[in-house]
Amino acid sequence: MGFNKFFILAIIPLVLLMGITPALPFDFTHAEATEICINKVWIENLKGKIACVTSTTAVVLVERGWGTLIGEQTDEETMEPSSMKMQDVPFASISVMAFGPDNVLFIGDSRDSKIVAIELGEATPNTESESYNIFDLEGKISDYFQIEQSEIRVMDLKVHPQTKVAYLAVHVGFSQEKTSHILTIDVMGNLDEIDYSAFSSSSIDLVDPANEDIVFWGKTPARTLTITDIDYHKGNIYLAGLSNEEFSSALRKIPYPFNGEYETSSIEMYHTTHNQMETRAPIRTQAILELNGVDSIIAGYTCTPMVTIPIDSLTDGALVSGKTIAEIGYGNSPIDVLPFQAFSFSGEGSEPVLEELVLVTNTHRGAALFKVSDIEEFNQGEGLTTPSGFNPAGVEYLPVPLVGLLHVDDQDEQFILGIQRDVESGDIDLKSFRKGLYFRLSEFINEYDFPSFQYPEGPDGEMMKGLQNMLISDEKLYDYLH
Amino acid sequence: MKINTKSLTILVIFLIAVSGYTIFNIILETNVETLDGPFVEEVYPTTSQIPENILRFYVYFSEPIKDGSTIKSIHIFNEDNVEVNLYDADSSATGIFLETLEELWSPDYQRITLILDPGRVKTGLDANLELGRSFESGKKYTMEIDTEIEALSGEKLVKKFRKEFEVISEDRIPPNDDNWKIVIPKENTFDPLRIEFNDILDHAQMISFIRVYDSSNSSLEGEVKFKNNESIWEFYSNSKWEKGNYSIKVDVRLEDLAGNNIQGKFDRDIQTDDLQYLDQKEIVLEFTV
Repeated sequence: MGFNKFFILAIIPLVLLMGITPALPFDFTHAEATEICINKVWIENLKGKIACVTSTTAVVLVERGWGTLIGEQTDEETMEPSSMKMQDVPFASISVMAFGPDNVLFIGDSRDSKIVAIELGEATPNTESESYNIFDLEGKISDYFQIEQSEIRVMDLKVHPQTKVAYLAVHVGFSQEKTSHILTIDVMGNLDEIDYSAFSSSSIDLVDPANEDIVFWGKTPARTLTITDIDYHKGNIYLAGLSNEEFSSALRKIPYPFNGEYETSSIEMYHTTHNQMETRAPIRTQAILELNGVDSIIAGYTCTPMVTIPIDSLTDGALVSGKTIAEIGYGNSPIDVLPFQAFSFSGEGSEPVLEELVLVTNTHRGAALFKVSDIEEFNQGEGLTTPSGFNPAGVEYLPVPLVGLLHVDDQDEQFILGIQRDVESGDIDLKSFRKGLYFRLSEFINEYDFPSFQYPEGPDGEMMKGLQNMLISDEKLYDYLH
Repeated sequence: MKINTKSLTILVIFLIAVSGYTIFNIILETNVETLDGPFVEEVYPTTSQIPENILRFYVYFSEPIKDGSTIKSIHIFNEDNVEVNLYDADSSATGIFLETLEELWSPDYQRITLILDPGRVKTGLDANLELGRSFESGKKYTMEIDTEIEALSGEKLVKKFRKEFEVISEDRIPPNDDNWKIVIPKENTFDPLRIEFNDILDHAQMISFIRVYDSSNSSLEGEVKFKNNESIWEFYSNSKWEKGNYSIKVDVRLEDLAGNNIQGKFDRDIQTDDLQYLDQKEIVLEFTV
């Protein structure tokens, strides 16, 4: 008995030792109290400092009871530059934005799974149409925040419907340390963050509640919704998103002003095959417009079928089939679907008429410009039902030389505004593109620029010279006027 | 020779101390790799037999990762060691994985979801017709995650991760609750409640979409574990099973690896493939302990 007792007594400290003492991966001899712990934090236990580790590892170690944190080093604090204004913001993150009625700015907040409406209030309409020519936008934002450019990500661009000022959704930092900001930038390049406290806001939660009763590896489930597009139309917000756990085709219809309620429908898309296969698939980008008198969603999917869905069919719980109206070709994803109006000249001497158009920008192809009248005509048929191979099919469109456009919005009567990646510098630029022409003169070398070039005599020459000078003025390259 | 109890005790303590030291060192060594910087903990599904039409992979990291360019560090090589998912912005070839403006991270940024480009998964889409599925049945592939991925702490992954797998024929059979076997725990134990699915299902959805309720319709708290490469779901309740009636509620959106869910096939022929449970959000499986 005595032996057993001794044995048990002897083993207790060992068991305790094995249970409590961490299997530390670091060399104790380096954990000198005098050592400076740069960019990391000290963990200490009863014996003193035991390790200099990253803050993330520290959290894990402390959780496991290996010790406690001693004063976090100050670099942690200096990561937030003093110039970076930290305001109380009504959102956790911004994935997408949309303007609604009365200058309300809607924010799609993926981190908190909600839509926030910020009432920007009355604004003086800007009647001057001026082009944006802002190069290295990320550089300017990084100067504004005084933070490394690699920490900056421009998530979305929208133009204020009255002031025509560009609103940028900007992410600063990474992962859960990331902050989101709404910046305004005018044609002169003046950047400013909006003062959120100056506006009232409201929001609606899009909860698909995680089941916190169940844990896996000691953690609660991690289901999220990444909001990929929001659009406002006649009293409702239409929201498309991508789940990290489900390939869902759910489209949410949310009344605004918010009443806490919303409807979810599922959209099935016909493939362009003879055997009528259909699947659920998340919408990548969308816009809402009237087609043949019916309010409809025109949606872009990955692998680029363009699909129309009548809004009336989107009732709660409904399973809706969309109609495929165009294929823009494989190896590509649509980025934005932008309906807008532009003047069109039907012939010599005729008055310009406003034409309804839809621009689809793409990841791997130039943009596609559709006439709404062509979409309407095609939409009256049964849609695309046969595979198109690698070729575009369906409604005819005009390929326009707008490449590398990351975001696009309707600026005013004369311009669309885009954020474009410069292939050579890698910078992103904020530029206006003249409607009807959809290119910027400086991006091309043309015969008109040669010193020896003479415009022909007569009205054609005059018209061409006027056009050239207009495009040169758009880019504010006045020294180069012809 | 008479054994001196005192000497024996000292000897035992000495032996224990030595063995303890050894065990301690073994723990120390085995943990060095797991704690000295960020690494890939696991890739789901864990099976090495992947259906040709797989829709998702999940990669778990040991600590939060800096988001933004993770997908570029995840490579798939075929048997000839040729990378099959190249990201080339200048060509019309896109990778195997769906590229999104925001990567699909869990809230703690320790799990990324990789969706296979649905254009190539779905039957009859142009990409599928022209390029075929991303994976070819009968062939072997390797997923390699390189060390360029950076943790939020600023450290890069400490080692590459490799997952080898064989691609098997497509899965176009939806999960069917008629084929599930429920193993009921014994009264007054902490035994797990188990469902044997006879099919590998999406592990993340099994965590989110399966809930257990007692007779008063309160959700039970507990832990989920998987066995046999996520074909078996086990629920370890936090409290002992009491005698009574229980129910398991399974969301009809629960998918297998190829996106087929309880309602039906991921891509269906509207002439021949029906959907079921269209008017309900979940199916209820009842059992008595």
